[in-house]
Amino acid sequence: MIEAEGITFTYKKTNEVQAVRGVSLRIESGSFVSVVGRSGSGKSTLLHCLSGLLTPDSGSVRYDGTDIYAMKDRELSAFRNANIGFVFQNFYLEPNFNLLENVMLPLLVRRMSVRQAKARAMETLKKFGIDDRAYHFPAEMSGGECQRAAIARAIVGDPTYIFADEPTGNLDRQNGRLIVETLHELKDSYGKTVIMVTHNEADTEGSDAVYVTEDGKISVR
Amino acid sequence: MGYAFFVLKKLFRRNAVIYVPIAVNVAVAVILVFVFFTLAFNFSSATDSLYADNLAFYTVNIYSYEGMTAERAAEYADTEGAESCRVAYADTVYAEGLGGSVIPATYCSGDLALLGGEAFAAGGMPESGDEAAVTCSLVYFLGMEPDEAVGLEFTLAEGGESRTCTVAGVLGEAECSGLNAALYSDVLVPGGGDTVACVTLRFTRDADISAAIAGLDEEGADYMSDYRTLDTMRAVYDIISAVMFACGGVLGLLFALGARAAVEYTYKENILLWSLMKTFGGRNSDSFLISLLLTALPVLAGAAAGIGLGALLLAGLSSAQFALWGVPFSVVSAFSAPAVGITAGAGVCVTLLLALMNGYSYGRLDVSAALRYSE
Ligand SMILES: Nc1ncnc2c1ncn2[C@@H]1O[C@H](COP(=O)(O)OP(=O)(O)OP(=O)(O)O)[C@@H](O)[C@H]1O
Ligand SMILES: [Mg+2]
Repeated sequence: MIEAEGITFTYKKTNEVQAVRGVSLRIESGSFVSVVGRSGSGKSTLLHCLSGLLTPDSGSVRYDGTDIYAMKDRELSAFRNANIGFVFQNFYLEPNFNLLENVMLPLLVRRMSVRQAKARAMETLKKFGIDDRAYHFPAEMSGGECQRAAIARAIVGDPTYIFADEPTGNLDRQNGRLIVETLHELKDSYGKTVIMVTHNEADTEGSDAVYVTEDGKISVR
Repeated sequence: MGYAFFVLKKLFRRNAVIYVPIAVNVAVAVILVFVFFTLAFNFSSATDSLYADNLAFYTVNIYSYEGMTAERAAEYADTEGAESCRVAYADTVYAEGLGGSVIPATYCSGDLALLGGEAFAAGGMPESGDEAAVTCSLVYFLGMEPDEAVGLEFTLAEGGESRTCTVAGVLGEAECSGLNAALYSDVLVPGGGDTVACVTLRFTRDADISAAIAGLDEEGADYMSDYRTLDTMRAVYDIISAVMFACGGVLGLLFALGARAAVEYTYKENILLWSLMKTFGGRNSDSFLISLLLTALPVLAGAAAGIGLGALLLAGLSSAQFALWGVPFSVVSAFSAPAVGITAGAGVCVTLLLALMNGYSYGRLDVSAALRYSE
């Protein structure tokens, strides 16, 4: 269970942009949560705050009662590695790595041996039906295939939570639908907790909860 | 480690673009730094060896002293920092082979003008050519205290003549080191500095001073010509070494900039990977190791190539070039240990420093922002 309590975040680089303003929410384990909102309303920022990538200025984020921002950087890193999977709009597959190597990355970070990581990554790719493309590079793949590989990478380490920031944003409707289905399957078949940011109202269908962001604040719908 | 090398292997291909320019840049900088420092050190050691080879004989103290033996001469040579000593002219002993950068004492009466009253441990300034100032080390060597030495008489050989001198004062320890230091002697006599700048003294057991003096005459003339060469050499060396070290510094900077460019490039070029690694919980130390290896290899390869090529270049250049300059020494080591040491040491330090900076950047990497940046 994720509990966020009054988190705020302000970008301070040039002029101040308050991207998240006092957000509190509670995400039950094993649920599928969607976050929708206009561009610039703070969805990505909120997601980064929730997933341990961006330290909020104030407020707390607790995973099963543990405040992740009270951890040392190293502990938080280890926590992310063990518990959180990420899927991004632009896939963020490392172009110099083939799909298999991309999927291996979180396992290697965990210090798994290259051989073990390879076997496990291959198994995961198989689950998503792209094991025959394991040795292809991202540039040789369609967007939908890339995103499936990215999802494989997100779950290869068997995390409890999957954060997906507009995973369908760069895909056509059909492929997008497929990805959302895949994410739902993660919840349904593997009991993962999925938090998905999306632009597309249709993608929120079947969610256990839908949050709407506006101007850094959220409301439940 | 397996992981670091796995990633490294992948990155090599992508970053290869920058390796060639970096290695070339570093190699060029290293060649120049290496050549400059090698030449600087060679100049320094060549000047030293000129002193050692050609002047050692003239840096010998030979006094009329009954108790003088070869053993005592050796002992004296030792106290003066000389490496060896031998008996010559039957009754005469002298020390030779003064090496290192310590310039052995010579006997320039002209130096006397440079001394102030406070320089004396006992007695005072000699007033006439019949009086002399001697150094503490000489007095101690003779087994006396400074006070006891004042008033002692000894025989002074100068040019073709000999005369009796009285010790008027004992100087405190006068050190003489470095190429630019003034030359001091153990015995200083006023008034001798104009025509013959050097007074050579020998210990002779039989007090057959005239025989020793006859031998000195000829050598004295050689000495003066060597001395003038050396003087010119010193002036040239000063200028050249200043230029060399300045150039070495500038080129060292080039070296650092090249390495810095590599670090910058590899950091920015691979930002998505660093971000992903960090997002997936990677440790800073892993990325540090990877970026260190990534940048260290072309830098070190360039440095090694630079040192190798620099040595080849020097080997071809040195003897011929030095002969062309009319510099009176021919052997110039093309592979100077201190120059290699400085160059390699600087390379390693720069690489490490830059990798540390890279590691620091990685540690501070704002994944959230970096992920947007790489969009
Ligand atoms: N690095 C940054 N520096 C300054 N302001 C930023 C930065 N990143 C985002 N912002 C601002 O913060 C606000 C929220 O941005 P965020 O990316 O969270 O919105 P979003 O809802 O994810 O938008 P989109 O749907 O376009 O992805 C925006 O006004 C944006 O301009
Ligand atoms: Mg966004």
